Formats: sequence, structure tokens, C-alpha cells
Amino acid sequence: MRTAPLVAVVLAAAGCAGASSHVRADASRYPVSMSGSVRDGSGRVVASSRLERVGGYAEAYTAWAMIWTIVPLANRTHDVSEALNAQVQAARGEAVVNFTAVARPCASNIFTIVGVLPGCTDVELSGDIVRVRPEAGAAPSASAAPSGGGPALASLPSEER
Amino acid sequence: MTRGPLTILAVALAAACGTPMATANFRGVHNPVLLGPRERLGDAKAPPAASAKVRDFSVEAFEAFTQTSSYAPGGSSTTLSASTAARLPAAALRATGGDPALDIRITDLNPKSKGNIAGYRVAVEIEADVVRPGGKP
Repeated sequence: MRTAPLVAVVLAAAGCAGASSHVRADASRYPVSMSGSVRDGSGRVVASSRLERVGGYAEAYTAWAMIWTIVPLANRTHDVSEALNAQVQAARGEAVVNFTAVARPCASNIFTIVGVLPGCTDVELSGDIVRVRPEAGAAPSASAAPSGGGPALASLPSEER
Repeated sequence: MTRGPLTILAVALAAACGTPMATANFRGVHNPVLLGPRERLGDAKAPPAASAKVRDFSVEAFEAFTQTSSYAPGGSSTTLSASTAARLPAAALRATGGDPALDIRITDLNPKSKGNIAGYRVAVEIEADVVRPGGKP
């Protein structure tokens, strides 16, 4: 009977649980950058000193799969556009920078039985909602650009790094 | 149950409670690293500007935990190994060569994890294009 526990461990080790997810922002109305940089309407990188943080974007979900992670059950593809648009609009921001994706394995993954039971991955997304400050000496109308950016932003002078 | 499997189970449970994670962002990079169709501030209804692809870019942040056990007459031993997250900003800098005129456009952002009682691997894989907005490569 000494081999029974070993066989059980080998069977458990033969299992493999987890999940994979693809994050998209296909309908985002705002620029989303995983760095701290974003370009203005004229194509120049906006100086970080002109980016004012007006809020934070955050969203979390769990992706599920089973049968050695081959069969997706939930959130195989996750589009952040709706939540992101709503949060940026509520904060009166113009873009999201420092967008960050964090993946964590679910603790339940180690209990899969030869890969059959569902496994999951916890995904946390976050970022800084920013608005562009007008440069010193800029026309007052430029600072009154509407949320989500407007044509006036294209004329804002920017500093290219 | 013998001590060996119990040790393995205890280590696996400890790893599960240790909240391993992979974090991906490009803080400190001067080039925009874009997800989604909006490339710049401005009119959200404007069509995307033309751009020229310069090269492919692929990178991942990951953390891994594996263990091996050997059974000897005197008992068992367990070895742990872990890999830390890749340095994404440095990879982005290499991809752009420090050229501030280039953007990185993400084509696939893929958080994932896979594991079992013997270990796990958690990662955020990123596939992207390095592009020159409105220009030639």
C-alpha cells in the first residue's frame, strides 16, 4: 500500500488546471496606453508634467477553463471598452495611461483531478485616468476641451521626448 | 500517506496561498504602448491614422514555481525554483531603439495561468507591433 499515495500524487500531478484570457479594447473611445505616454492630436507625445491624474480605472474578472485548460468556459476574451469608457467619461478624463494587467492563478487549480475539473485565472486590470493640462500661455479655450478629447486638443502644443 | 507526498502537498498549498502573480505594464517607457484603436487624444470618431509597421514585438511577464522531489533511503528532499517577471520596459526600449517617434501597438494581451500540485506558471503574454505613426518604416 506504500505505492498508493505515490500513485495518487502522480495522478494529481498529471492534471493541469488554469485558464487563459485575451484582453481587448476594440470599442474604446479613449487612448489606452500601458506606458505613461500618450500622443496628442498632432501626434506629439504629451509631456508627463502635463498629464493630470483625474481618477483611476480598475476592473477585475476571472477566466475559467477545463480539460487541461483546453476548453474555455468563461472570459476567454474580455473586452474592457464598456467599463473603461464609462469610467473615463465619469472622471472627465481623456486617456488611460499606465494600464496594467495582473494575472493570478486561482488556489483551486491545485485540486484538479487529472486535469478534468475547471481551473481559473484571476485577472486584475488598472490604470490612471488622465487629462491634459494646458501649457502655460495656452489659449483659455484649449483648457476647456470636452471630456474624451476634442479637436481643440490637436492644436495644443506638446513636448516631444 | 508518507512524508514525501505530504511535503509536496504542503509546499503546493503554501504556494497557492502566497498569491503568486505576473504583472505587466510599461511604466517609464517614453513611447505610447497602446491597446485598442485610439492612438492619440482627440476626436474619438476620427478614423485611425495611417501607420507603418517597423517590426514585431513580443514579451511576457511571468512567475513560475516548480518542484522536484527525490526519494532516498534517508528521506525526501524538495527543490523549489522560481523565475521573476521579465523587465518589460527594457524590452520595449530595445524594440523602439529609443526612437520617440515610434509607438507599440498591442495585438494580443494574454493573462494566463496553468498549474497543478507540482507547481504553476502564471504569465501575461504580450504580442505587439512597433509602428511609426503616419510615416514610413
